[in-house]
Formats: sequence, structure tokens, C-alpha cells
Amino acid sequence: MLEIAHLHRRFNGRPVLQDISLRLAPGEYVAITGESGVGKSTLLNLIAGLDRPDGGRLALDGADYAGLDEDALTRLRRDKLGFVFQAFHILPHLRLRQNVALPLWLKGQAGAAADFEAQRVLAAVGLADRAESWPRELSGGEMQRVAIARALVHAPRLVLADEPTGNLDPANAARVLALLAERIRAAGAMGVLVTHSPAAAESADRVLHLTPEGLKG
Amino acid sequence: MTLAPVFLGSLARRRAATLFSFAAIVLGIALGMAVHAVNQAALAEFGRGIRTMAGAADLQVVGPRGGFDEGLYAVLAARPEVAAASPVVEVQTERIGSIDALRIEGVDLFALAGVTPALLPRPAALPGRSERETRLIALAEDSLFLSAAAQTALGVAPGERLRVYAGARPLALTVTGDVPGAADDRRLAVMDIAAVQRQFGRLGRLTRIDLKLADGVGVRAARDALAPLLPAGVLLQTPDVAARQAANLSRAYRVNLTMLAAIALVTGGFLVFSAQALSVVRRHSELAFLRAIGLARRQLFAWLLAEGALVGLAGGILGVLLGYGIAFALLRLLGGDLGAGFFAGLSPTLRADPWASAVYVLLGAGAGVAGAWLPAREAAAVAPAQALKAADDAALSRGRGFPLLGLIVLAASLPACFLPPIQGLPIGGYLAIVCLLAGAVMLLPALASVLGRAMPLRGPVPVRLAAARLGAAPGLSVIAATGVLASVALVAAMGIMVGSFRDSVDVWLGQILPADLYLRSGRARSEGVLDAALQARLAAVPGVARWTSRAARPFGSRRAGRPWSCWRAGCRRMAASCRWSAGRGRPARARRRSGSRRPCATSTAGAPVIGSCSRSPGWRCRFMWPASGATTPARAAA
Repeated sequence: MLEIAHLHRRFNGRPVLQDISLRLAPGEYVAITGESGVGKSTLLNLIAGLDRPDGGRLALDGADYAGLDEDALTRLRRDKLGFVFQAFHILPHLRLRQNVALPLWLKGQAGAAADFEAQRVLAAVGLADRAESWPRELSGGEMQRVAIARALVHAPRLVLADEPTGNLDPANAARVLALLAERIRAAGAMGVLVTHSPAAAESADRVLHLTPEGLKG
Repeated sequence: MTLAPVFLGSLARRRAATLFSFAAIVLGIALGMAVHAVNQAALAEFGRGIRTMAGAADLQVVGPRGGFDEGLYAVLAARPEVAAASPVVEVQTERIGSIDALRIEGVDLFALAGVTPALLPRPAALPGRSERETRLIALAEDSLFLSAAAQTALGVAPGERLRVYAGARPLALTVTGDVPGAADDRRLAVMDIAAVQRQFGRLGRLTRIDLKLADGVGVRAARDALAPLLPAGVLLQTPDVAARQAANLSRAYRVNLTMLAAIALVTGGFLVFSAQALSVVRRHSELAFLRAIGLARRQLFAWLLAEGALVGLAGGILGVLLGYGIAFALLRLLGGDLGAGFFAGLSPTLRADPWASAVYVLLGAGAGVAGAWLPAREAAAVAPAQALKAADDAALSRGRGFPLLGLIVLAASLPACFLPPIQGLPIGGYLAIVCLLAGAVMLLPALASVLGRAMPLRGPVPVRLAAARLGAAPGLSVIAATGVLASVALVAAMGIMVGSFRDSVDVWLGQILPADLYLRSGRARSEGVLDAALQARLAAVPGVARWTSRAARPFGSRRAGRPWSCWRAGCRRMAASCRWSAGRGRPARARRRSGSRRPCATSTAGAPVIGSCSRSPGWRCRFMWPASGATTPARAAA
């Protein structure tokens, strides 16, 4: 379970997020929408442990992580979080199988076991036959499917997606969003999708709207 | 190592930059390794020669090339500290019709076995010669024994005649055997001591006495007991002193070539820096993503260092292999002194030196790590959330450098120029170069920022964009310019250093050797004699307005490793008490033992003080080293 309670964040004395609260049940997938500049990415960064709140509580499966040190937050991200970004961040000098196995490598798993897992999730996103391809050989939609596979390969508790379809055409975007929702549910993980697109938000179980006043259901 | 493909694989994405960094490191390591290997091979060979010549000697009595009175031998041989003594007269000559120098050891065959048995000659059994004649042939006045290597080099065999110069006079010697104790590649010539003294005009003179000490007598005690018995200019030294002096002879070329290698290596380090810094900027969001998904800050730092280390390590390994190849070629083509003539007659053999090789490989890796350090540190310091923003690509390059520190470091180069030499090396000069370089690099971003902002935003769009970029991200100028700045600055510094040295030598030669034309008795110049008849004939040559004669007599200081030369002038015009050459614009002084100081001629030579004096035998003075002001007592002996 993800619990966010009374979260605050200021930049240069200016409040960006005020009194944000959210509870996410296991297996739940929620979309957060809002205008540009309202603080969607800031909220995602706080949930991801990439930024620190000025106040409030952040807890994953009951463990508060808002006050952890940098090393502990790094371990949290490595072990329990998965990421899908708008810019796919597929490393161009690694094959698809290697790109997908990257989170496992960071956890110290390598060799046949990591390859097997990578191959398994690539098959789940429909790219089983492209495991040995190079990123340059893929379309944008395929790249984001690889990114989804990479976000799920290490069985994270929480998947965070920041505008995952921002670089895709509508048809590909719909396919990727459906795939993301399906894989998150299949993995039994929680998901947070941040997007400015109402259409994209519809793929989630629940849609929340972020305004300067707070998060509204 | 699971992340190796992520980081090391990225080197392949930037092949050209990696290749340039790699090539500079290979060049630096190869040159340094080659110089070291060549010199070590030459010194090892020289050391083997020294050990052959010294044999079991604990101490050696050495004098100037002109020698000392042989009466000293009888005095020392009778001392209780001495178990055995072997007198030697060493002469340098050359074969008629050839320019190859030949050093002949005149030895006492009856004293030799107890001290230096390796020099014992072995008469060859020649047809028509009885056994008794064969045994006594070693004592013949024209009998010469050549080691196998010397016979091969001179192209003579036992029974054949060899014509050499005794001063300016031709002398025919007969090769009557070999020297079986000489190493395979050692060119050694041995004659009876009496024959050498007679044939080469050295009657009553010795150049060396090898001493084997009595049981229980230490070197220090023997030195204390025997030193007071020695005349002026004659020294007691252990055999290894000669090896150290040989190392000092070649030090100048070793230091300068090693500095050149260091320049290439430092340039390689800066190229690694440029390549890594640009790579880090380009991979800004990629590295931030890795941090976001769980790569620890110190892991990122370590892997970015590993990228530089890999380039340096590969460059080091290839550089060492290439260095040995270059050393092999240099030894074959130029010899152990790279053609300078310090180790003439030696045939050094190249040997692998695992420790030195490891050190040079590590130096290569160190250059790579040093170059990668700063970019890695900056990349690891960036917050991933900020770096994941697409517009943050130039975040690493916004720094204005360290202008204040740069000015301080630049200013520090001035006092560094005045630091005295350390172990004879201009460490202060090298330090000044480093300060200038580091200060310039630190100032560069601030200068670029000022320049970028001062440039008018007019003209073609690319120019306007470049000016705006320079003003907004001056740190980029450091990345682009450091490699070029380092290589150009260091090469310029080296050029100035070599140029000033050559200029100094030119001026010094102009002062020491002011005549239009010089005639010398040959390569074996210290043994050569231009006799009175020849001098008269030279004086009568049309067009010679004035001439002088002089004999070079090197004499040693009591401080090992600082050979000096004293030129005995036969010209009355040179009869002033002394004339010393010292550092540029800094008058050296010679001081009589009585304590009176007399300023002497200002000259422009480099650090070693070289004097010209007349009527020098027994004349005592103190040398003042211009750089440090230290004085050294010395006396001219011959």
C-alpha cells in the first residue's frame, strides 16, 4: 500500500504542492492529471524518492520513507519501484534484452537468470523475437514497450509513469497505455500515471486531478 | 562487474574521442618506457663491465687520466689493511684508419690473479711458437690480448697485427691471445703494464690501483687509513661509484626525454578529461535515469572513473609493448646512449623489467583516472530529478571556474621559477609550468564568459548562437580547450627549455672555444699528444695568424657524480688564475683556499661549473655552484 498524507513542497519559498494526500491499495492503478506547471512531476519525484518533501508522510507498505537518507532511497527505488518516462531512456549501446535486464543488474543479478526474466517480460509485451535487436531498430511504440518491460522485470511494488505516451501517436499511445495497465495489474503492483491527457488517464482505475489547492478525486 | 556493458560499452559509441585519448597515452607510455629500457640496458651492461674490471676489489684508487706516481702502489701494497693490490694503467687509443676508440688496460700479470682474475689474458698457441715462448708472450712489448667481442669488432685474430695511435705516433701491436674472463659481448683489450707505460709514454705513472682488503678490515676503516696517503687529485672509491657516475652521465638525456614522455602522458590525461566531460554532458539524462532506477552515487562515480581507467590501462599496456619495441630498435640503431657517445663500445641487451613495466602500465591507468576524475565527480553530484529534465543538458557546464584560485596559482609560478634545483633537477621550473597550466585552465571559463557576453549579438545566426552559448555555458570552453591548451603549453615550455639550453651551450662554447679552427689528436684525445715538431709545422701553415695549444685533463671532485673538466692552457694569454663558467648572467666565483674571493668571468653555461685554469697542478680552489651558492673544495692534480 502507498500512503501519502499532508505532503508539502516549496521551491524558493513558493508553495508548489500543498496538503497532498493519497492512498493506493495493492494492485490499484491511478492516474493524476493537471495543468502544466501544477506540480505533477514534482509529486511523482516525491513519490519516487528523487526529491524530498518539506512536510508530510510518504509510506510504502507501511514503511515511512520521506526521511530516509540518499543511500536508502536509492535502494528503495532499485528494489521496489519501476519507472516509465516520456523519453524512453533506452540505452543505445545495449541490446533490448540487456536494456530490460538493467534493473536486475543493479540488484546484482546477472547471467542466465537475468536473461530468462528479461526474455519473459519481453514476451509479455510482445517483443519476444526482438530480444537481440538494437534500440535503433525499433519504433517509438516498441521503445516504450521495452521501457514498460524494464519497469516490471524486477517485480516492483509501485510503477511510476511520467507522460509515457507524450512522444507517441494516438494509436500507439492507446496500445502502450493498455499494455501498461494490463502489465501492472498482472504483476499485482500499484501504479501511478502522471499525464496531462484526459484520454490517457482513462486507462487507469481511478483518475485524480491535481490543482493548486490539492489533489481532487 | 554486471554493469560493465552499461559504462564500458559506451566507450565504443565515441570511438574518435576514445581513440585520441588512447593514442596520446600510448605515445607517452611508449616513449617513457623506451627511454627507461634503453638506459637500463646500457647501465646494466656498463655495470657488468665495471664488475669485470673491478673483480674482487673492495676499493679502487683512481686518479686523473694523466695518472699518478706509481710509487703509491708500493706504499699501499705494503699497508696491513691491504691483502692484495693490482696496479693498472688505462689508455685510450684508436685504430689507425678507424674512428672506433679502443681502451687498453695495462695490468700487472703477477698481481692480477688475486684481485681481478677476469682480466687474466690467455696466450693463443700459434704455429711455430714454443710452449715457453707462448708462456712469456704476455710480457712482450707489442703483445695485445683482445676479448672475443673485441676481436670480432676489430676484425682481427690471434697472430695478426693491429695498428693504433700512441698519441700522434703509429704503433703496431700483435694480437697474441684472448681474455677468457670477459663477458661474451664485452670489448676488452689487455696488455702488460710495463709495455703500456713504455709504448704510450706513461713511464712511472698509474691510473688505477685495485685493492682487496685484508680479512676483517672494513671499507670505511680502510678508507680512513689510506686516504691520508694519497696525493692531491687521487681518490679512493668503491667500484660502484663508476656505475653511479655512468648513470649521471646519461641523466640529462633521460630527464629530458622522460619529460617529453610526461608531456604526452599529461596531454593524454587532458584528452581523457575532454572526452569524458563531453561524454558526461551528452549522457546527462541517461546517467540521471540510471540514478533514478537505483544506481548509487558512488557506483556512478566509480564506473565513470573505470571508463577513464580502461582507456588508460589499455594505453599503458600497448604503450609498454610499443616502448620495448622502440627500445629494441633504438639499441640496434643508436646504442645505449641514443648516439650521445656516453657508453661507446657497449652492446647492451634489452631485458624485460616487470616492475618498471607494471609502473608504466599503472601510470597509463593513472592518467586515465586523473582525466576522468572531475567529470565523474560532477556527474555524480547532479540531482537525478533535475537532470531528467530535457533542458538541463548544459547544467554541468555553467560553472565559472575558479578565477581567484587561478590567479593565485598563476602567481605561484613566479616564486617556483626561483626554487633551487633538487638533486640537480629543475623541479621548480617544472612546478612553474604546472602552475601556469593549472591557473590558465581555472581562469578559462571566466574569460570565456566575459568574452561571450562582450561579443555583439550580430552577424550570422551560427555566430550569434556560439556567442550566446559561450556566455551561458562557459564551462564548455574548458572541456573543448583543455586538451589543446595542455599540449600546446607543455610543448611550448619544452621548446623554450631546449632552446634556452642550446643557446646557453652555444654561448658557452663561444667563450670556451673562441678559435676559428680546432685540431685535436683524435677521439682518444686525452691520450693524444701533438708533439713539438707537429706544433711547429702547424704554426708555419699559411693563414694561421695565431694559435694556442691546450691539453684537456679531466679531474674529479671528492663528491661523486660531478665530473669537472679543467683545461690546462699552454697559452700565456690564458694565464689568468682562473675563469669559470656558470649560469646565465650569474657570475661564478672561485676562491683560493686562503679565503680570498675573486670574481671571475660571467658566462652563460648550464648548471655544471666548468673551469679553465692554467698552471693548475696543486692549485686549490672552491667551486661555487651558482644555483645553490654551495661551495665545493677541489684541486687540480695533473
